Parts: sequence; structure tokens; C-alpha cells
Amino acid sequence: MDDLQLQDYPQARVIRLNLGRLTASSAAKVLTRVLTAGAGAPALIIDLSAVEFMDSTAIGELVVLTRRLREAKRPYCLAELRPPLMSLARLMRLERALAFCDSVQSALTRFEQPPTQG
Amino acid sequence: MTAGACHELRLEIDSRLECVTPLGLCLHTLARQLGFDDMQAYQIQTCCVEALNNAIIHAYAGEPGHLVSVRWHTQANELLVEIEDCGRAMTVPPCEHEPDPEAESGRGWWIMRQWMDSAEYCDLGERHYVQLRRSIGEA
Repeated sequence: MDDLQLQDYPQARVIRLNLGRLTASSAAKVLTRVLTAGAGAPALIIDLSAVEFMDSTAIGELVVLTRRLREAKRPYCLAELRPPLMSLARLMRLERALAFCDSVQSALTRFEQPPTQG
Repeated sequence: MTAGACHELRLEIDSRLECVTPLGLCLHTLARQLGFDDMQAYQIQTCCVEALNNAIIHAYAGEPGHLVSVRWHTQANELLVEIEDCGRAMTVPPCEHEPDPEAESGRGWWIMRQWMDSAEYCDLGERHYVQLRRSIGEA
């Protein structure tokens, strides 16, 4: 199975990371591939439900990835972090810097909404 | 403290990042055997991985072929983990401040200090180690 699984919806492309671990040894390469795989999509939903472990280097690479997405004005969401990883994200107050969603479905719903006027 | 658990162990890996993951899994299992719940074991694993990564990335500048060792032991109701290298010593004390959420790096020591009872750096000249402590009583 490929470690990146893509599924397109009208409002977004879901990229599922089929990796148990996102760590210093792999994160930079994997997330560069995520960026490439998301090219041309209206929005990106990065499904992290399969990721059981992440270290701080991988978090740093996620910050880099999301910064690039913001600079490209590409909406994104990190979806379905497992509870231990969400606790790590909260410890780092990452919810201030990164966009999280509880589920892929809720992220799809979020991106369905038309932009607000004004 | 759980009877039959491992109370004294030394593990060694080569200074390659790909060696850290299997060692981290091993440490998670050892923590569970001491009676820590899954979340606590995950926290201990994460802190050890951060210290191991630091040894490889900073002390050995990412160069393979060097030894990183882990001494895992318990005394009284406390777990002590010492992650040792013989590379370049840390010259700047670890940051005490909460990292900026937008920062690309600099989170390792913060995680270790939040999730362990203490995390200290010891410089013994040619070798150095990070000592992590966590009470087993809360497990």
C-alpha cells in the first residue's frame, strides 16, 4: 500500500498518511510529498488517523508544510489526530498555529461552506 | 511497581535516526511493564525519543557510526532514564521557555520538561547524558 492515499472531493483533496510513525527520519520527505500530492486541489485535508507516533521534528515539519500552504493561500486541515498526538499538539499550543479538525467528514463540511461576505 | 518488570537495562543504538523508532517502541513496552498506563508510556517514549534525536542530530551532527546508549533503571518508586552520547557537548543550556507555536524546532526540551518530573543535562567531559525522571507512584 502506498504511504499516501489520495481521494478527491469537489471541495478538497483528502491525503491520508498510511504511516504508523512520522518522525525525524522520515517527516521532511513525507510532508514534501504531501505538498506535491496536494497540488491543484481547492483545499487539503491531511488525514493523520493512521499515525500513532510523532516526534517534535515531525511537528516542526508540519509547521513548515502548513506555512507553505498558507503562503499559497491553500485552505488546509489536519484531521483525526489520535488522542496522544492531540495531547502533544495541545502541549505545544499548536491549535494557535495549525488548523485541526476532529474528522475528515467535519473538514469536508467546513470546506463546503461558501466564503462569508465582507 | 509491577512485579516481574524490568528494573535495570542498558540498550545501545547506532547514531542513525531510523534506529530511534524501534528503540522507542521497546521503551514504551518497558514503561507499560512498570505499570504506567498507555498515555504515560507514550509520554515517556516521546521524551526518550526527543533525547535520542538530540544526541544524534546535535551531538553527532547526524553522522552515523557512533553509539547512543540508554540506561533504564528504577530506584525506589522512580524511573530514571539516561540517554548518553560521546559527541559534541551542548554549549547552550536548554531553553526554559514555552516554544512559539510557529517555531520549526526547539520543542524537544520543553516536551521532556513537561512530561517528565525532571529532565537534566549532565556534561561529564567526553560523555554527556540527559537524565529523565518520572515517579512510578502515579502510574
